[in-house]
Amino acid sequence: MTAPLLEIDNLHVTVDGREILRGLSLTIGTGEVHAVMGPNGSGKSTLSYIIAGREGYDVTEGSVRFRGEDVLEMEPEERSHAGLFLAFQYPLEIPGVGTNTFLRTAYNAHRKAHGEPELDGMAFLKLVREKTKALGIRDEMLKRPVNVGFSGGEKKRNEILQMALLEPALAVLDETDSGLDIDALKVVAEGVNALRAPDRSALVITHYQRLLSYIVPDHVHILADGRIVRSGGKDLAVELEAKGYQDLIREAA
Amino acid sequence: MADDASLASFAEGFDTALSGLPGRALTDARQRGMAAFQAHGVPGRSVEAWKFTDLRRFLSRHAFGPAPTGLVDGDVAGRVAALGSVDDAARLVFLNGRLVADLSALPRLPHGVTVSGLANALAKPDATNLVGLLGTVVGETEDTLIGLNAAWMEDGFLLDVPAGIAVPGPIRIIHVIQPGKDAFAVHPRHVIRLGANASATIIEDHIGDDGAASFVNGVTEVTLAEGAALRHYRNAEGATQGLEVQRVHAHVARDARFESFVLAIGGQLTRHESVVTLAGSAAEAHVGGAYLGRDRQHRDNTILVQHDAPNCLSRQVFKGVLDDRARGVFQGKIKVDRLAQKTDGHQLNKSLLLSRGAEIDAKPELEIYADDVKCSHGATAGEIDGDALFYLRSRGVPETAARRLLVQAFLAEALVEISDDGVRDRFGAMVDTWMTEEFSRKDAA
Repeated sequence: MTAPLLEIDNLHVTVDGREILRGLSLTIGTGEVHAVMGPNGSGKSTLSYIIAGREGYDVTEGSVRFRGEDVLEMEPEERSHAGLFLAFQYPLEIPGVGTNTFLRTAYNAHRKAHGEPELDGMAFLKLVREKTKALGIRDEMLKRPVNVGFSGGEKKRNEILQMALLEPALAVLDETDSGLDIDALKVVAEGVNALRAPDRSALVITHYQRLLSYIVPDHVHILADGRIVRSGGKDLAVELEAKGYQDLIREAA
Repeated sequence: MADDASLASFAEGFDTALSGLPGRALTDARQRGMAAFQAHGVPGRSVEAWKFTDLRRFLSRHAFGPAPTGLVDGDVAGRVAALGSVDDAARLVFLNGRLVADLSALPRLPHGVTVSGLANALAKPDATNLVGLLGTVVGETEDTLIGLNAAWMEDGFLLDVPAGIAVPGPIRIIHVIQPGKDAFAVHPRHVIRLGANASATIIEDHIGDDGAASFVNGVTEVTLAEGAALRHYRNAEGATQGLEVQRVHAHVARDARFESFVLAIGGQLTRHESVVTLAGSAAEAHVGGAYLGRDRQHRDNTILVQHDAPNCLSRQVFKGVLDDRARGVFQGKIKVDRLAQKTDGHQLNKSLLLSRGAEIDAKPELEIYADDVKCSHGATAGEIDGDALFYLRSRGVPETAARRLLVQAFLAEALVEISDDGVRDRFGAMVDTWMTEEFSRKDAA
């Protein structure tokens, strides 16, 4: 295994007093793509939100470290600057904020955090156009308010565009395949694959095996009842598809 | 009765002052106005329309004398110049309610267009016409503040555009309040008249300094003839201790368009009241505003759009941001007469509350007597959307910047109602400045 990038150790998380994650441990090395698969209610979204730093989740035990640093002590923006990125299952609509403004604000916030000069409007537009072109996103989308009136596919593509701009060390994709038809799924997967690099990792969280045909993981983990019950290679996803969650979880128990 | 001693000051000395007020022919109207005022005094919470804005309480803290004459101190010319784009514009500058001729200029107005001060106009031999016009739009009302204004009105601006003339460029009206040692009150009266198919844009800036309290009780009468189009924009920055009640009554004839927007951004108390009557078929009213309040500032927008004719359209869009213990009031009403079929009336009020102590009272009302109409209203109040905030932060935007972006986006939805690009940009920049103060204040705290 390569040097660990993300280390989640015995993580226990409660939401409104209910324990959702119950001793989850997971280590992701640099350059690796991991998939976490689980049935509804297994804690998949909680895992993604706890990594990104959303409020409302109480960690009662365990730790999350990113490059050795305690992620749980960091503000959401600090996590982003450090190289963490969450592609949302349900990207938020922000009326009144143009997509281009949003992207530039985020991009320049990263530059500033890293002590680099901010890009002006023209320079940024040039950069963003390169990215949109590669992702098959029309420029017209940049003028519209963030995600307002976007189709499901456009919203997910917008997430991948943000990822492409911010070039995170670890991208967490939360049910990125939900609500996508097969064409949109391919575009999104291609966008993710284009970012694969020896120094970049990804955590793909999904219910279905479908997405993993396009984003092929190095490791697959089965999440059930708040903890990883089984881990394996990419074949585990195929086995899961054949047997279903119930059988696999029963076997693991 | 105005029982409070401080409120009695509005009636005190009226009889002796009367002979010195401009326009002898107005004497009767002034006396009737004073009688109307004295019948009920300054409105307080017991008056339905003032339930959420207890003007009596605000005013009772001070004894208001007459406005000081001449320059108090400071640089009025500099203050005016700082507003930008003033030099080339046709402009009237008022200091503490009175026209300052030296700072006013009327370059390049089309022939026949009249822009003047009310006091000057009343002093002219042909003032009879004007006297006949005053009060025709607001009418003889039981409204005590309009009565008070009628009694004491001294100066104001008049704009008269003959039929068919489009006034190029905005006309700037700049009201400067420079408080002296003692609190004072002014009662400006403005008249705007556009002939058939005439058009004009008026930008009013209400600015001022810190100092003793001031009460501005303004009344504007607007008459738009058939096919006329008026854009009326107001920057209500005001004096720091200013209490402003501004009433605009507009009479809009067939095919005419009335657009109004108020940016209420400064002063202790602002109440902007608009009464718009759509009197002829296919007339339009676009009444909008953005309000920003902090500390204990009070922002009131009270609107009545009266649809008296068929096929008319009206839009009310008001959005505000309130922090600390600031309070907002929105009272918006669409009244549709039995004859006003095919009315298209819409009203929206949204407030963003940045602290637990901030408060908004929203009272949207529809009163409809016609059966074939399309009318709606919506009012919401809430905090910054936590999910949107998290989304922005998860992309690396620091919390303060993310909050700021969301507040700006919220207000942008109101500013977009301004059809003049220059004014929209300028008001947007003023909102940005307010926001910078707001968030640097928070960071310091």
